[in-house]
Amino acid sequence: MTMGVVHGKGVVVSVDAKDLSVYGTSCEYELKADSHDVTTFGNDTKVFAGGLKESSMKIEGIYDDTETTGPRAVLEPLVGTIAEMIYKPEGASAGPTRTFDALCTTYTETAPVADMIKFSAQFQGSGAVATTDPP
Amino acid sequence: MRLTEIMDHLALACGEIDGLRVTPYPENRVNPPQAMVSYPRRYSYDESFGNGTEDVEISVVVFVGGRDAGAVRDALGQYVDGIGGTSIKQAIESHITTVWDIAHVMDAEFIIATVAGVEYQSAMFRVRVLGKGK
Repeated sequence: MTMGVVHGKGVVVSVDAKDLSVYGTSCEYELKADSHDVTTFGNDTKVFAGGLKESSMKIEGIYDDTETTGPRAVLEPLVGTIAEMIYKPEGASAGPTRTFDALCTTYTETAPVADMIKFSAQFQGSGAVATTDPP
Repeated sequence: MRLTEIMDHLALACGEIDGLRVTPYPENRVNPPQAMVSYPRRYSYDESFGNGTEDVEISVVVFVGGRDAGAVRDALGQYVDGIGGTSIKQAIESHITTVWDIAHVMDAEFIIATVAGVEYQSAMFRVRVLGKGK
């Protein structure tokens, strides 16, 4: 198996069982953990312990008014609700698949006068992220 | 999108203007008033994931002739107007097709073009075409 750098053009991102990949231009997935200071007397440097994890996802792309499956039709109704997020950074047939429930916190449309309308949506992970790698 | 279809449909759109001859590709002869679709300056793939969007910048050049400078100006001006029955911008942006999602006439540049040794006053319209990559 060849390992190396991976181009972003093949990213697959699906929200609520709707594949939004062809509208997407940028994805930002983050997995982080709380950090707890457990430094005690006698230490010369701080000591930390990991806490609860949390995930988030931001999707940006080109606005499209396709009914039912376009980004506006899919994302705008999801604000304030939890939907399943599937994110495959290396494409449909390679690399990890990350699946998690996510609360859609923001849907944004940006309309510049001299360019296409863009959309973005931000999600807060709700619960664990399941990561599976292809065999 | 397909390049040949983009060029054909730009020509079809311009062909809706009465009296304007159109050619869906560059050629080495001009019979003004004539609109000629050029090859793209840029054909960009992968504008969204999975090559979902392609972004093409392509030019349409309109050549005019006339008895004198005033006639040339009047002939060219009608095509450069942003709206109206002879507007290149209106003709292209109102053209309904499944070949692209959107075509936007961004600007026009005025040039003296030499074709087969003959100079023509012309306007080069820069058109941005976006559509599905697959």
